[in-house]
Amino acid sequence: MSHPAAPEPAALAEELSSLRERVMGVTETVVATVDGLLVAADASGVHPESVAALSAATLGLGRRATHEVGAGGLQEIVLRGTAGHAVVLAVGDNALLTVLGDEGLDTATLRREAPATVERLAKLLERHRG
Amino acid sequence: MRTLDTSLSEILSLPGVLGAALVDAVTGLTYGAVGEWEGTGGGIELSDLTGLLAERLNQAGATGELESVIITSRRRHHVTQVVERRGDAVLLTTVLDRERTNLALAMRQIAERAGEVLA
Amino acid sequence: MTDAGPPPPSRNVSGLLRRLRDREFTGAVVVSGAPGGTIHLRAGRVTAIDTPGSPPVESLLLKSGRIDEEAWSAARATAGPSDPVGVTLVEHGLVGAVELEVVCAAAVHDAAFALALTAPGGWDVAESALPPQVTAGPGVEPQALSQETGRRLTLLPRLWGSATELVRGRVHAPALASDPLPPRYREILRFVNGRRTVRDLAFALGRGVFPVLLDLSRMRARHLVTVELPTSTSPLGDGLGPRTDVGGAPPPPLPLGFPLPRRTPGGHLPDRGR
Repeated sequence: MSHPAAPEPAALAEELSSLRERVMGVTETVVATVDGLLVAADASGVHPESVAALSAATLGLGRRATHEVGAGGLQEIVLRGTAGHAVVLAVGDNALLTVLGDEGLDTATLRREAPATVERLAKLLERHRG
Repeated sequence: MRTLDTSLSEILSLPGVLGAALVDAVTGLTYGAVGEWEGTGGGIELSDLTGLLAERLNQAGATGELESVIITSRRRHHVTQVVERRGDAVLLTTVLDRERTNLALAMRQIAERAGEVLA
Repeated sequence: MTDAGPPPPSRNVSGLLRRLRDREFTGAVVVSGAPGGTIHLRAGRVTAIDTPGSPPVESLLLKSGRIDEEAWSAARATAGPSDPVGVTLVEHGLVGAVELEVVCAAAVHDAAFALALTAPGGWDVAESALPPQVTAGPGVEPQALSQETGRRLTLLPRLWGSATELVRGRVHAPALASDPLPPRYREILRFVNGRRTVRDLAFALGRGVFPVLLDLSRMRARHLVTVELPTSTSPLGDGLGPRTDVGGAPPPPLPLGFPLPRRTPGGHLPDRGR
């Protein structure tokens, strides 16, 4: 797994803050590698590095689980708590996007907007791999 | 289950009470009303008024919160009791017939009822 | 009251609700949009509305400290089929019956206001829908709900500005407030962080978006907060249905309670017994 050369920070930041603008209830977002390394974040309350590590572990586990039970390729993991949500989405094969939200997170709109965002993020990350 | 209507009707049954309503202290929404009561506009004006008074009191440095407002006209007393709760307060407002009411007594009864109006 | 087939198509959600009221409809109207929502009806009256735009009854009760999480979970767990969470809460003495009725009514009005801020992409009427989580009282008459929503929508521009923009605006607290402040203002300031929008603050506080907006309006007059309006006014993403003007923002909500939305082609009531 190649160490990601820094993708244009402005473009990534723009993408993340645009997502927060478009989807109600999104509080913070983190982009990380599947190894748990932080790539970018639009955050204020959480520690992005911790979220990156946790998300990578969650994604890895989720992928093994869906594979194991024959549910096909993992699309998203939604953690729902009494006070908020954490949604982990695969970005290409080597990265992930974590979307944190409050308990009113607009999951319907997120589901609609996520694919395009994920694709754009994947392209941005791809452009800067080695 | 006890209803808001029942709760307000209990207040209506007090001597001299012509009408009663429960109004949101911030939005002015009238949750319920019985008897002689001005309707929607009344609730909004009431919350505006109590809000303004509370604000002025605070700015003037008063400690403690606004508890009640009494408006007296020729034939009526309009008594509004702030009902504090976990969450935004509500206003219990009562219209009294001046001729048939001892205001001090009515105030005491209303204050007591205010404690249970949300039960 | 017997139906004679699906009602004629409605021009907007409040028109639909009026027709459903005539039929004493029980079920849900699912409105799509960003955000959308689900309007729960019982005998034509609105008993609950779920939407990402306004905190649910659960949040209002938990965040204010009226009910603690454990008690809430326990009540949820022991609840039975027909609106039992509300009854259970009252029976266990966790909240007064009348207080619950008040909180539910407040939540319905706040959610209707939140829904009215963006034009829906379309709607579906579902007779067999999951019942709402908590309800109490007879529900709100759609006509009264529309009127109050319209009042709120026209009040905001007089007081401050477009409700749609304000709710999505980011709230900043420029200076440390020195005077002793009313408790509600102090509480709001605790959660202002320059990132949270007015809607986000409402969720964080467990209070309605509209009352928070009213408080912020007065706080702004006292120079305690500023609100940074969103740069784009069109909150709709792509693929949400036909639009009235090409490339424009959705039309501003009409003071009828709900904005004039566009129907998704082919939307209709489910067939009955065919």
